[in-house]
Formats: sequence, C-alpha cells, structure tokens
Amino acid sequence: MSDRDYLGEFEHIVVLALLRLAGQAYGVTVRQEIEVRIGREVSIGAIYATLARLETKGYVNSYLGDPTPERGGRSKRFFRVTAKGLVAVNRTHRALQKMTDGLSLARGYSP
Amino acid sequence: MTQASFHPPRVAAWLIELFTPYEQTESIPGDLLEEFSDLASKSGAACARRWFWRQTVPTISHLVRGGFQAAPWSTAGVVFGGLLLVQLGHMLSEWTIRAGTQFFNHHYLPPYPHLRLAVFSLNGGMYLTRLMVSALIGCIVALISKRKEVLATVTLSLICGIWAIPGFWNFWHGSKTHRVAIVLPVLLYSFGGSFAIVIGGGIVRKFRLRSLRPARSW
Repeated sequence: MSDRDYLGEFEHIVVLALLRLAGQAYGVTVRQEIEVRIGREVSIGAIYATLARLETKGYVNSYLGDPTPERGGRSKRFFRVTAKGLVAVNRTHRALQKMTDGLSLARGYSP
Repeated sequence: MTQASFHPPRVAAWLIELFTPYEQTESIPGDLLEEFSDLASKSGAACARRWFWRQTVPTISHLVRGGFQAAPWSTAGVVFGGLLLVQLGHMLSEWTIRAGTQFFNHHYLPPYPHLRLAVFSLNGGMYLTRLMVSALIGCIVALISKRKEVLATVTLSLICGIWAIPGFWNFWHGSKTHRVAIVLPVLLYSFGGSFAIVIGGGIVRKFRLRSLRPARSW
C-alpha cells in the first residue's frame, strides 16, 4: 500500500464520521451520523464493506463490545481511526482543498 | 405492544444471516436488529419491516461484492472446480439411471404399456438423484471454499441456472402439446439442481456457524 494513497469519497465520509463519534462509533451510530449530517440513506452493508476495506489498509481498527439484549445478545463492533488513517484523511482533505482553491463552484451550476 | 414482540421479516433476516461474513456475524445482524427495534417502537412494525427490507437488498449486494473483491481468484477457482464437478456428477448419475432403466426394460419388463410405470418411476429416481448429487456438490464446494461457502455456491448455482435456460427454452418452443402438463418436472429437472447446490452450501454454513457460536434468534 502506497503512502500516497487517498481516501475514496465514501471512505472519507466514513472516517470523518468515526472521528466525530469518537469512542461511540459502531455500525448504527456511523450510519445515523451520515444520514443526519448529509441526508444520504446508506445501508449497513455499505458501511461495513467500507470499514472492512479501511481496516485492511490499516486506517481503522476495531474491537468487540459486550453483548446487549436489544441486539438479541449480539455484541457491537466499535471502530476507531488509527494514526495512519489520520494521516490519510488529512492528506485527502488537503488535496481536495488545493484542487478547489480559487474555483468558483457556484458558477458551474448557474444557468 | 412491547419492544420484545417486534420481529424483523424472517426471510430478510435469514438472507442477511446467510450472506454475512463470519467475522461480522455479531455486528451486522445485531446493528440491524437494534435499529429495527428502535424504529418499530417509534414508527410501528410495518414501517420498521419496510426499512428492514430496504436495508437487506443493498446490504447483501455489498457483502457479495466485498466477498469477491477480498478473494477473487480463490472464489473463481472454487466455482470453476464446482462446474467440473456438476458436469461429472450429472453425467455419472444420468448414465447410472439410464443403464438401470435399460437393464430393467430388457430383463424384467414384458412389453406391456401399463408396466412401463416402473420405468417412469426410474425416471423420477433420475430427478431425485440429480437433486441429491447437486446438493452433495454444493456441500463439497462449500467445504472447499472455506468461509465463503454461500458466495461460492450462489455463484455456481447462478451459472448452472443460466446454463439450463437454453434447454428449457428449447423444450418450451419445441413441445406444442402437453407442455403445461409437464412444465413442472422439466422446470425441476432444469433448475432444481441449482437450488440444491445453494441448499448444500447453506447446510455447510449452518453447521459451521453452530460450531462457532450458539444459535441466536432474531
């Protein structure tokens, strides 16, 4: 994996959601955070597929919590961003900022 | 109605359980159940059930895509091996039954039409043998594919199903009379094997899940 890798659009959104939720980031809260903040309904499968990819890249890690009765005795899997993930999200963010600097995006959408 | 009395749609829950990777058997069904219960108590069971189905279809599609992306070559190899096994298995089972039919015809059955019922039963045996061989192949493919048994068997079953379409099409256009009467056996003969492969994969997955953790109810 190259150190110059950037996060994809949805990977970027998911990592930012994990950072916002701090220690409370698991499937349900991540999905709801994205839905509330950007108004996009995403499936739990999309969240887990992205988190699995980020975990393989070493950008996030996870651990199992205790089983709870409202989940039918199943445990929550909590996620957190690693130091490598923080570097990647900053790099992506800077790249996007450099690319948008000086652009009047509103002009592109005006009739 | 108490929160505990709400249950997600059985088929959707079963599909999620079937396609979820082993390392996420706690988290994905647990997350869905948690949100379902929450939504059911706030907006009612019908709304929660609709939400659950809306989550199920894209979730399965992501899980299948993720499974392929994680191990594309090993999955393709297992599916290809499965295709060879399907061909070999069907060839052997049909050859055995046909040989048996010819033997009975020649040695035991006098040439009276009503006694041909025994031959018809043997043909029924052929359908059954084909289904059993397919289920067995599904089990073998599932065992070889390690932890991607549902992905491998569903792919194999889809390929076999597509393969069977021309045969069924030929039958439908070729036989103008009695085709409605015999459509069910022909459907069973053409596509039953594909379903049996998935059932074989599902059985192996069920046993593996049981050995990993106790059964959980939705």
